[in-house]
Amino acid sequence: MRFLAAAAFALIVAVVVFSQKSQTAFYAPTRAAPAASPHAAKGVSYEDITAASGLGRFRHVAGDRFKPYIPETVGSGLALFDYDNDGWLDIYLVNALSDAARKGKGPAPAAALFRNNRDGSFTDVSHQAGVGNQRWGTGVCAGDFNNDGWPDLYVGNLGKSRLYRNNGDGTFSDVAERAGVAVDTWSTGCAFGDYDRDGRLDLYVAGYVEFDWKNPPPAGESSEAPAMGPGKGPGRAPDAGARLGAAFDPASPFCTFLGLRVACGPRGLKGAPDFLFRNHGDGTFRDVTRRAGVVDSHGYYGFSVAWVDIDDDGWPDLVVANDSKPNYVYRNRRDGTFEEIGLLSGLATNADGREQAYMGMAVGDYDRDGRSDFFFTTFSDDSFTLQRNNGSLDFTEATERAGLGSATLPFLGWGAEFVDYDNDGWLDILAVNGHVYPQIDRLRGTTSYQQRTLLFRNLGEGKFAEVSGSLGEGFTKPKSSRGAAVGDLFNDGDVDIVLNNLDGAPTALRNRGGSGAGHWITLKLVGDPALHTPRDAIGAVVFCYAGGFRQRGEVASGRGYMSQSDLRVHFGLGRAERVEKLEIRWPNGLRETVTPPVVDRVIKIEQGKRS
Amino acid sequence: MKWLESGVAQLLCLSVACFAQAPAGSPQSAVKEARERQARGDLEGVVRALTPWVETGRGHVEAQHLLGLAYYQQQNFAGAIRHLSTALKMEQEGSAAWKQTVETLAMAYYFSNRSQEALPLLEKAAALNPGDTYFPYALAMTYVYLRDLDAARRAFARLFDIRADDPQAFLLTSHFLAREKFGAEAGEMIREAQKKRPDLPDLDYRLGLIALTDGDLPEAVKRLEKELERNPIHPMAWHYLGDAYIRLGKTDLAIRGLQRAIWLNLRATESYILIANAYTGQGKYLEAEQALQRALELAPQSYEARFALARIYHKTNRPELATKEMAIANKLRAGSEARE
Repeated sequence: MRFLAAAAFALIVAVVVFSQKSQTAFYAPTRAAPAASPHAAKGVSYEDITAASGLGRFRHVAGDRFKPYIPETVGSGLALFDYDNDGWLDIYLVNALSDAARKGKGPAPAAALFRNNRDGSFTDVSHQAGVGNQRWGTGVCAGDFNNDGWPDLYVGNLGKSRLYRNNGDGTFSDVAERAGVAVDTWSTGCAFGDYDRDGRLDLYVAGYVEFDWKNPPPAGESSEAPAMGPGKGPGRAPDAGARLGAAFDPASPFCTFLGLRVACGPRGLKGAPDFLFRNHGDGTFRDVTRRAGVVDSHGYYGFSVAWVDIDDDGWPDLVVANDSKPNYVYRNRRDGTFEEIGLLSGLATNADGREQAYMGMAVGDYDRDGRSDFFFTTFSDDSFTLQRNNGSLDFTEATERAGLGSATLPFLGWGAEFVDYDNDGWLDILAVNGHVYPQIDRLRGTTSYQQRTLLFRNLGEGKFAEVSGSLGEGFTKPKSSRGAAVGDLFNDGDVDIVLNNLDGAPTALRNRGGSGAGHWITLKLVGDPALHTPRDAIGAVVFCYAGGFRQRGEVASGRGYMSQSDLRVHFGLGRAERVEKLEIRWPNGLRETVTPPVVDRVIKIEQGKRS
Repeated sequence: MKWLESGVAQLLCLSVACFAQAPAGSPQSAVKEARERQARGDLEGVVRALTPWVETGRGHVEAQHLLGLAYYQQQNFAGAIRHLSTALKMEQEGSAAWKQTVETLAMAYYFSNRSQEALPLLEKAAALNPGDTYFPYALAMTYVYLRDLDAARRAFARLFDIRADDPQAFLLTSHFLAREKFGAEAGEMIREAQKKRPDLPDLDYRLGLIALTDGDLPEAVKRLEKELERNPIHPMAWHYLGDAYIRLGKTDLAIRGLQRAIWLNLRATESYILIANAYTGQGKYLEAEQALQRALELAPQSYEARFALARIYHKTNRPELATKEMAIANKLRAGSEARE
């Protein structure tokens, strides 16, 4: 018996050593740490504070580690929002489920709410707050839907979604059913926005695919074991091809990738519907998807949602990033209805008119021309996409010219954000990455399952340069990242980053040196519901005039990859020691100009009060 | 104890009978019927005739074999693999049926992208069919998928009647590697060919294409220009040079290259579309529109041309034309998606 145990131990050691050796031998640009960049801002880096902050106690879990089914691959989002209104950002991390929990054979992993202790640490208050979700969670967005001054959360699930109403006392109540927004398919990204300018936040929820655990498509193969013979897949389901089509055929191209049998989908699976809910102002919403003309008529695979006024007519338009399909771009007709103009606008596809696997969506004015541009993360072997807004509902793909083509080619990206990491007044680009197929490492190719995080510094004149190699281990260490959110966690004037990693601990990256590299101003806007502006001012656009330049910022719900970043608006000011003026375009259409007395501060601006 | 076993067995028989009643007739008659249907091309009929026997476990080897063939002919490769791999275990090695099973199962695995399983069967099928080109091609491609580059080179050399050590064999293999997007390996092969024979045509062109695929635009420009120094009547080299320049934002240089590609090949639809993109980048919408109209004369079903034309109508504020043209483009896109 002892001999057997020793032999087994030796075998385990041999396997570990062998796998480590093969891991070392495996070179892919998505894993290998890049050299420090001459383009990086001097003295600015990111410190990984995951363990020290207490966030490391959270573990994201999503089914089987070999990822035989598509829900196990997409990960979850997170939200940076100030749930207790103490002026400090708190962190909500969405979780999925373990195999055991999904089958009812074990406790369900919970989502976690971490309260900011204002000293660099966070305390898990999920239990008291009642936001554990304990369903297969994917996306999250924040917004004060009832205008009571307390930010609420919508959580998209594979299964019934939740609307967590903030009770203002540190607790939340799930009111999704009563509010009429309990979507029961697979909802992913979401965003609050006041599309009809009645001062009440409406809600858009994207749907990914129709997926039934009781009747799933065939499983992908283990990333370690040799290919399975017919009928040997874990949890092989009875043939139900009639309902879900080709994806049930393991020989289908939708279930293979470069010769590997992988999780089927999303192509070949039926898309889940998207929903637009109009806020009645009495705590309930009404499904107006059809009436408003934003039906996901093609059954596309929606991931991320942004309300953004792309034509600057003062009415929020809607963009839905779709995986493997063209994006939807809905122009707000200002009468409660929308017109889909994705392909015509050029924003639905790349410049060649070809759809990509759009995952995350960042919105920001990277070229400081006053218009909102877009950046999308996509699949590996396809570059991420930068779309410049030309005005008049027209976009031009600027990926290659910006220097983002070959640099992003091997990466499979998720979270995407525009962020001015060095406060120089130019928006940089954050992209967080990780492949969907663990099996991909068997190919020893140019991509890998775990991937490092990318940051591209804006060099001005429409050019970007990768500076990840200069930012510390938080960027160079490969991870399976999915959700990403940015915001000033410590109110010290520079933008921090939090990532929700698949099947693991999150990553919290504290910006070190950003506030020293340039002046800054952060704005907390408060709208007046009596003037038909949502209280949290979601949808407000701010133009900041400083140092001879005009920058654009927005109070935005959702965006990124199924995540919520800081609802405050941050501007890096570079060397400018004062802001000449702030032009605010409130969601109700009214404009206001404010001159802030100081910079390097967080400033609260209440509509009409010129504070 | 025996009474218990027989009781359980009887119970099992009963329950099996409840759920899967034995089909009428015999397996032999079902096989006979299947053969007749197969001869008539009635593949659905073959599946209908044999499936009940195979499901009850009473179907013999011939039923498995025929069912597997029918599924293969229907391009249901999973079904083919299921039944042919069962048949293979039962058939006598070297028999005509076994040979057919080996060949068909090899191709079913091949078409299912299951290269590891396809490889030994394809090697057998190729050996069983000397002089045939079908299996050796699939075998060579399987080596490519498995990144066994030496074996792939030898296999392609045999297919093209050249010596495996000839530089042309390296070039050939690089072509197939590049086609499957194994750019790094394809580049290695070309460089090997170049070492052996630096004057071999197309080497820089191919390296340029690999660089273009990898997004290394300066390298692509360098290689393509080098190729064009030697061979200025290479329309595709001019075309891809134009492509690289567009992606670099150098539209003047792109237009120059693409114009040359068009002069050398007046039916170069793709070059017309690309030059239209370059003109669009310069805001020369009239020129872009003319180029796209020419592309559509050559290829009315070109999604890219329709899409680009609709975008120009949109940019030049002709909404009705834009909507109409994009609807056509979208239909073409949906059509090609359905075909995929």
